[in-house]
Amino acid sequence: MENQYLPKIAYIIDTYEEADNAKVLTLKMKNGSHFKFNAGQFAMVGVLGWGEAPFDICSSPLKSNTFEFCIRRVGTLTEKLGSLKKGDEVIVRGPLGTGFSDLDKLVPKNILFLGGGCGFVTVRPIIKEIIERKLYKDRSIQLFYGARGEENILFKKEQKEWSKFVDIEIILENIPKNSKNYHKGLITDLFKKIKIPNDVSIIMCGPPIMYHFCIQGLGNKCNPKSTYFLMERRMHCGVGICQHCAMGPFYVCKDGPVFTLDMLDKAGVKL
Amino acid sequence: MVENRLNKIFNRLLRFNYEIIGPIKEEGEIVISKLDKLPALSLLSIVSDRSYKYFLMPAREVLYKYENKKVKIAEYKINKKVLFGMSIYDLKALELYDNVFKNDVYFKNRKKELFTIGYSAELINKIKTDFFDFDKDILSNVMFDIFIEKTKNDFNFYSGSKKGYLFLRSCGIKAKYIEYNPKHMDNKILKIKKAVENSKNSKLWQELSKICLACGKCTIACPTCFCFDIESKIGPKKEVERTSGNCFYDDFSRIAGGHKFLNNPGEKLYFWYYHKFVRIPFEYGLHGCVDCGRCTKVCPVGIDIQKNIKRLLKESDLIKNKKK
Repeated sequence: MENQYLPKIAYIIDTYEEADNAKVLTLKMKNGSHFKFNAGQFAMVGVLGWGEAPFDICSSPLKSNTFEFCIRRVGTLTEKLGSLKKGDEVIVRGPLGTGFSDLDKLVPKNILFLGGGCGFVTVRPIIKEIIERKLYKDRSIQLFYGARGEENILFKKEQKEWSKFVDIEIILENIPKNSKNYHKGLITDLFKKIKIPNDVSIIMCGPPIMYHFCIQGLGNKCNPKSTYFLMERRMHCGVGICQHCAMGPFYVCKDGPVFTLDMLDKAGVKL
Repeated sequence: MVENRLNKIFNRLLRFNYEIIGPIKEEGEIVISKLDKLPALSLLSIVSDRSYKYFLMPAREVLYKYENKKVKIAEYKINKKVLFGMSIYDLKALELYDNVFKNDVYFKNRKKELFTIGYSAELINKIKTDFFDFDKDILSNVMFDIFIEKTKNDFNFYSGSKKGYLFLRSCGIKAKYIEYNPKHMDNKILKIKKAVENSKNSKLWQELSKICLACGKCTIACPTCFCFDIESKIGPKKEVERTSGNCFYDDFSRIAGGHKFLNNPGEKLYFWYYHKFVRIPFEYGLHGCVDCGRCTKVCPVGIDIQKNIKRLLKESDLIKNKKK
């Protein structure tokens, strides 16, 4: 019987500072095993003596010999993780949850990403998979990203590459003087400015308050079966037993963290 | 004396070096602890204040440690234990644990060394609860090695496993063999599930929110509550522990940055009832509440789970009738 609670040791092969006080850690399993996952899945990452917590995997799911996490320093464990250097060891349990098993089979084919805050991290593996599998060829891919200021934009450098295949619209509350690269306002303001196809799968990665206003702003475009949300809850076991992340009949760790609007309705979660 | 046979069982267990766990009076409470002699029948005939659950899942246990740059599963000796005098309710709770922790190596290892002896001070076909459709097959719906039923002047003995059967035979006691053949999802469970599932807007939760202290005594007393935390031990030892959790405490749903998803006692109680009466039946086809009454007994403000479920059932009937 497999022990569900036993982590594996991974070591850091690279790190770099991201925006918003975040750090990207590139990991490799110490025993050389591959880490196969779907975009949208997460893992419990931790440091012995400091605990473990759930983090979304943010690298391309097509690459499994190394994998990445973007850790924003918001508490004790994330401060510790953020202080680690190349060669240091961490514990990893996962991948956990479901995620998107086959992006090619999403119906409708067109995809609109709505990202905000540190939830935006999860947009990255999905976009990477879309680009690497050339899924953009037969559909429209749009990414609306709302942030406070230019300094809060995550993965800014990479977005230049993404923008060859994806229509990226960034909207900031405070835009730099004389900047033409950004819209000014809140993410919902983009719904009036940019045309969105009628048939579109919507993937929202951000804080619940953003979900609330996006659902209102998009109205009929939010089909309950093809509007996806990334949910965040406290987690301990990661396998649907400890109850911390229970949401109606579901567990965010086991049945999520990606949920359709339909599932959230069933769970009695009001957005 | 008819009790002689119970003594015979007890002493034989001691001789086989079993650690015997059962009800004992301590500072005015009936707790579940190590026994060195057969408990008085009067202690066995009432629901103990504490349950047997911490012998199924300890309140604190080391899951693994980090030694010589390797993660190692914690190893410790597990003593052969007898859980003596478990009521039908406690045996129902054991059945739930057996389902919930079916892939948990720590629980499985402990369970292997457990010998369970149930006891009922009344005839089992007389046991009634509002939460289950108990019928005359009640014993085939619970897991046990031996079950002892008190009759007017004597005892009936049942064995629920080969281990139990052989043990009783070695004591010279005849027993009826009962096969575990659980009936999942009886009508009462389904009815209560529906009533609780649709109760989010009931005024009950607001009313309870005003009186509940969120002290968490109910979950500690509850024989089925099994929520847990996984935490790194503080200090030089690099060990990770599982400790029992409590959904009434604020940390339970708090995430980094301070946001909580359960914010007042009403929300916590709804979460608690939902787990027992909706999520567990949905996942395991079993009830998450065994109707033992312990939570009602320990609640400092008198929250009565039976009364609340009856009210939700009534409200659910009213809604149904209105729709007609």
